[in-house]
Amino acid sequence: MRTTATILLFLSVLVSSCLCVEAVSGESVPFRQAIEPRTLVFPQDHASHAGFQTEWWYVTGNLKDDSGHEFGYQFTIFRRTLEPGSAVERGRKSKWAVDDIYIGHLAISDITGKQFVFREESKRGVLGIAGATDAANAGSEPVRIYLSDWELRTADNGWSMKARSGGVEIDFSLEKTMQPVPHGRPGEEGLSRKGPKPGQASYYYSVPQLKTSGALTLNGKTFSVKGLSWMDHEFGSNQLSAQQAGWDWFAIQLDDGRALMIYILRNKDGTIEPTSSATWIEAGGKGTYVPLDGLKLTKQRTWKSPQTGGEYTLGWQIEIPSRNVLLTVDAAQDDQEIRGAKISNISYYEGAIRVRGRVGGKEVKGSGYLEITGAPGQKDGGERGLGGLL
Amino acid sequence: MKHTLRCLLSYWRAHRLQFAISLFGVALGVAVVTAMDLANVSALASFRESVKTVTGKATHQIVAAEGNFTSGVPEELFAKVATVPGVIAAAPAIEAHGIILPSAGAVLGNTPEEERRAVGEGNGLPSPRARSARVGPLPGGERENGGAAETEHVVSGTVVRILGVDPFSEEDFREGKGVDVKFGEGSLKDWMLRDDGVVLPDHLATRIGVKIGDTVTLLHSSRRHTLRLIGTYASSDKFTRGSDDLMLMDIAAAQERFGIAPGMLSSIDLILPPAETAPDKLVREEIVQRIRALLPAGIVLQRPSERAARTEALLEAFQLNLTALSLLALVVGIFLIYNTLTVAVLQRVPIIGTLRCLGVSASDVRRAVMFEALLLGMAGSLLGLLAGRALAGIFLERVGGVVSDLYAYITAFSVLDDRAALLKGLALGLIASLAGAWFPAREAGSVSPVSVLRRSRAEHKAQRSWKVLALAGIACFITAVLLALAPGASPVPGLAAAFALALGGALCSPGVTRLFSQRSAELMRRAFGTLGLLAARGISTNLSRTGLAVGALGMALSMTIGVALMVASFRSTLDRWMDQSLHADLYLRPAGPSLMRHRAFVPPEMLEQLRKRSEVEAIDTYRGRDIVLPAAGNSADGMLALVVATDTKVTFGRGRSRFPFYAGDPDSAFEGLQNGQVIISESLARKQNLSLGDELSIPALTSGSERTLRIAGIYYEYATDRGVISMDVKTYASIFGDARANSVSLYLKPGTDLDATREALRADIGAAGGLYIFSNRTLREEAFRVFDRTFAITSQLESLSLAVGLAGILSALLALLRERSTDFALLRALGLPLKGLSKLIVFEGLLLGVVAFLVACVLGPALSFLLINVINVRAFGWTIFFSPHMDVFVRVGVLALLMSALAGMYPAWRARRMSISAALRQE
Repeated sequence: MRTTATILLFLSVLVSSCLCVEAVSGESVPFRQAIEPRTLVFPQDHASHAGFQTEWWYVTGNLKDDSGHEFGYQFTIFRRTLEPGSAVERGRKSKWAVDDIYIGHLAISDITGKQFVFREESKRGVLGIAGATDAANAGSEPVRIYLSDWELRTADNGWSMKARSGGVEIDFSLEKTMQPVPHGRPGEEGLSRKGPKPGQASYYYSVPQLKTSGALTLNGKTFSVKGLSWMDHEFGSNQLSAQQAGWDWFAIQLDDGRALMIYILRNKDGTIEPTSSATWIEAGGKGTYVPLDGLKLTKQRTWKSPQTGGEYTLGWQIEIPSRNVLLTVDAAQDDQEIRGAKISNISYYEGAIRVRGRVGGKEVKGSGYLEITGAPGQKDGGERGLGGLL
Repeated sequence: MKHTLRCLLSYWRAHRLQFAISLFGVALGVAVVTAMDLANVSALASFRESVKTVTGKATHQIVAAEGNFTSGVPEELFAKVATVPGVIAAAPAIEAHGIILPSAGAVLGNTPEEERRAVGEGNGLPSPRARSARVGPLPGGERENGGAAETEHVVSGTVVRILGVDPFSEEDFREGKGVDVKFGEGSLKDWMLRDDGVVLPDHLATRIGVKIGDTVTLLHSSRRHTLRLIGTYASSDKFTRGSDDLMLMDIAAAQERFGIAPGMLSSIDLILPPAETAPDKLVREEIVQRIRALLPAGIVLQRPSERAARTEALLEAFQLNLTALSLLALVVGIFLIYNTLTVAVLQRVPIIGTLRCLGVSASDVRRAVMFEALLLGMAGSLLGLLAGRALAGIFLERVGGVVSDLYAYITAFSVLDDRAALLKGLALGLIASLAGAWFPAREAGSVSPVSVLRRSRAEHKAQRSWKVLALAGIACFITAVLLALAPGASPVPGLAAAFALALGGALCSPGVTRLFSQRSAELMRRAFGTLGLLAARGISTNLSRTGLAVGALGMALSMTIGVALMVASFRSTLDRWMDQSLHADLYLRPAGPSLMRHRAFVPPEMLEQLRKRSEVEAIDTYRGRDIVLPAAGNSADGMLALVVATDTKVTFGRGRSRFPFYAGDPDSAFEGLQNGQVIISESLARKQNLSLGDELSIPALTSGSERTLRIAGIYYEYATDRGVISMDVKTYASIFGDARANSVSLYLKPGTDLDATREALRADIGAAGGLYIFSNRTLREEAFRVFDRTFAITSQLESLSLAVGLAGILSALLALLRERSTDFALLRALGLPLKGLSKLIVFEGLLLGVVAFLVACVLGPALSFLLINVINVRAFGWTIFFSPHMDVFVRVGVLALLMSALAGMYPAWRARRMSISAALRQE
């Protein structure tokens, strides 16, 4: 009974309480805010942005081995600053005194093997235990985001990525096929609005269509896999408002090289946040902002989690009339719900999807990822969803 | 055999008291052994539990080489080690100790004793105590400092273990469901962000009267810390055992406030994969090798059990001695059973004879008697187990106190129902009963069918066999001498020799009894008239009874005298030693249990303040640190030793010539100390087989390698039984790179008022900083208090053995009364008044007591010689100078006479109710 019997029990409460954003107050928040449009500069902006409260690097993908064994994966590192200003500024002497905490989520959808595994790690961002290259120092050396032995690191033409936790291990290299695509309204690309007020936004870009190869180890078996990944990087402070219940997020990669990102923010009163939007990405990497009224989403199928009671819409029809896009989306398997995240104390859906449909009259196929937070009916954790992290 | 047994057992219905006494003997013997065993096991378990609360499920720990958390592990290692492939979990920890004060303005006493007195008789509440001293402003306190005499609340603080942890690293170290932590509003973030947030067990919070949100005042190394209680945790049953005193903090806050040094951790705890199978072992070994490759010099990877084992090794000698003493009670119990059963067999000779006539075989009779003993033993042992379980609590308090004083500071002890200890008690009880029944059973088997002989037959045998017994006794003595002379480092042969000696004494007792009663007959007649003569004759003619009773009591008395002489000699040795080695006027150290004195430091600024004081002529600093000696030759692997550093110019400044040296002389030792040499304690010299001029190696923190030191002297050291290496503070700094002091000795200028200086020091720094200020006298008193506590349990064990021994006298006299009822009736018929008869019996009891005491007067000193020169030297490595304390003899003598006279009272009273005619009719 390490002491800690104690501590650990309250750790979950601790972190989730830190992560969960209280309502955005009108008081001045000393964190840096995503208010002004920002020209994203790379590789600097792949790195960490001190001063913003929340930041994450989010990689999802669909992979296959030679025998056709299909997998989906999610690799995320969250960074959360506990208090504005640094520990050093507050007069703390110990290097253990914390500015940021880092949380990692690793999930594998073994689609052929019909299973879903989830691993979570969390560390304080001190002493090389967890951390990220700061944007201010980035440039000369590779950008590194790490959490114990999890790591996302910029490489010559993309990233290398590895993680190991509780018998699950990934070691991938990701090769860019296009430049990062900033999201946002025309003229303020990079600033992704999440609400009506200034600051209810984040800086957000995606790198879709990453050619991925590497090794994936599950249940003691190592698979040599190939496929496509999608990287998201987002940072901001207090972007969500108190009346928001959760969101549905799509990362769709079509076989013809195009891609589509959609986020729909659901309010507690059942309405949709008007700033919800999408970005249509051409094969070369050109992104086009699609406002909410340019999108038509139809729910086709729901699945209820027996464990949390959350009702997730897994089957969708997505229409973008202006571009003559009609896509049918469904989950590659039902249960891809992240639950029992002890440290962040949240449940959400993060699952591989299969996509079929027509673009400009031509048949297309594709894959991608669907994320659903704050699903109705969730017994615990879900209410807050990843809201805190955003 | 059933019928045989039933016939035999019917006897006891008429002899209930005899039965009860035997039962008592076995029960008490078993109770003492079981209680002692339980207390030992429980103390050890509590110690292990208290280690475990900190190490949890850790399979390995990275610690500084000397293994005792007095220097640290660089924090940069953590990330490197945690990511070594195969490491399941890693957690950093800061460990420290502190004293929680009940209020911000509370002050501790000048000495632990003052606190005990101030707190009063166990009600735990501080009581106001008027003092004339002015107390300076206390940091964090809200007291007015008006300058006038004021009332100072002297309190006794609550010692807590401080554990700084990183919650993010802890998850894997927890076990089961853990416990609930209650937090106040917003306190979760406080844990991460505050530098003063603490979490206490709810029991403790309630006891010291703090709620979430309140401030907690904590003394650590003479500094006051104002902390805030941000949460409490429920201590579950399991949790309570070792951790009721565990204060949790965030690792960052703990490091800033209570860390060893900036950037240092106390340990990095690791969980490595299990290594049950051979391939797993290889995997683990590889991980271990990879981690070791990362460790800088002076930092080691070890198992938590290794650290605990070193302390346990120290405890072993202490517990062994207690076990040996407890066994004595059982041995005395064997005599009792032997005595009772012999009486019972002899009295039943007519029955047995008749049974034999009826065709019952000799072996059936033997078996029946053995079986009878087994029943007696079973009943007595079960009773003994019950009593032992109850007694264990009392013993544990004593043993625990000593363990806490000398070996490992533990605040909570609880009796563990250790099945092995209970079974052992039961088995010993049964074996003792069977052993006691062996001869009586043979005796019973040898009763011939036709024999309707009376006891006189046995008595004839006893009259002859005392010679045989005496010879056997002498053989025991010779064995004892041989065992005592046996070479080796273990104290076990010494303890065996003590038993052989006692047994020899018991065996010679019939002979001595005979000799004494025959020789004293004339004297008794002259002193007490015919009655005296009759009493003396009565004893010598009933040797089969009396000899044994004397043997049992003599054994108990010998042990009592032996141990008491040893303790008294030890005490006077200690007294003289302190006289020779304590030369300073005042001694200052941060408050707290003495065992933790090496983990608290006198702040450097306080030291400067002291140096500047006008009353002070010289200041000596003391620094102690545990180290693990490197394994060398055939010496104990990794033995714990204590390194002590003082400013030897000051230490040897006053009264140098008096400094107690075992080998070498003060002047050359001083010379050596100035040149980087060391002096070592006698116990270290003995345990490591070192002599003057030898060299010894210790791990050096500054270089990471070993430092070889030359021994310039070997001195007597009674403050601790672990080996001590003493050096000059400069040598110490060069080896350990650290010059802090655990305590300070002040030498005052001639003519300075000691009491006034002490009060002034208290007002200026002592009260605020929680500093104990001992004068030479109070320091000695404190030392003796610890000493007396250490030996309190031995005297308890002696008294219990003594009780068994006295039960023997009572039993013997009762048996005599019954057997000699005809003689007594005849005497009565011949005109002896009732009063005279009673007197006769009491005289006999007294005479038995006198003989037993005389035996003990010879054996006791011999035993104490063994204890002092063989057992102690081997177990602890101390030279005790024997001093024949006459008061020990007087005390034990008076006790023996009083008790044996008392034991005679009841039979004497019984004798008065005897019917003369009925008794005579038998004849």
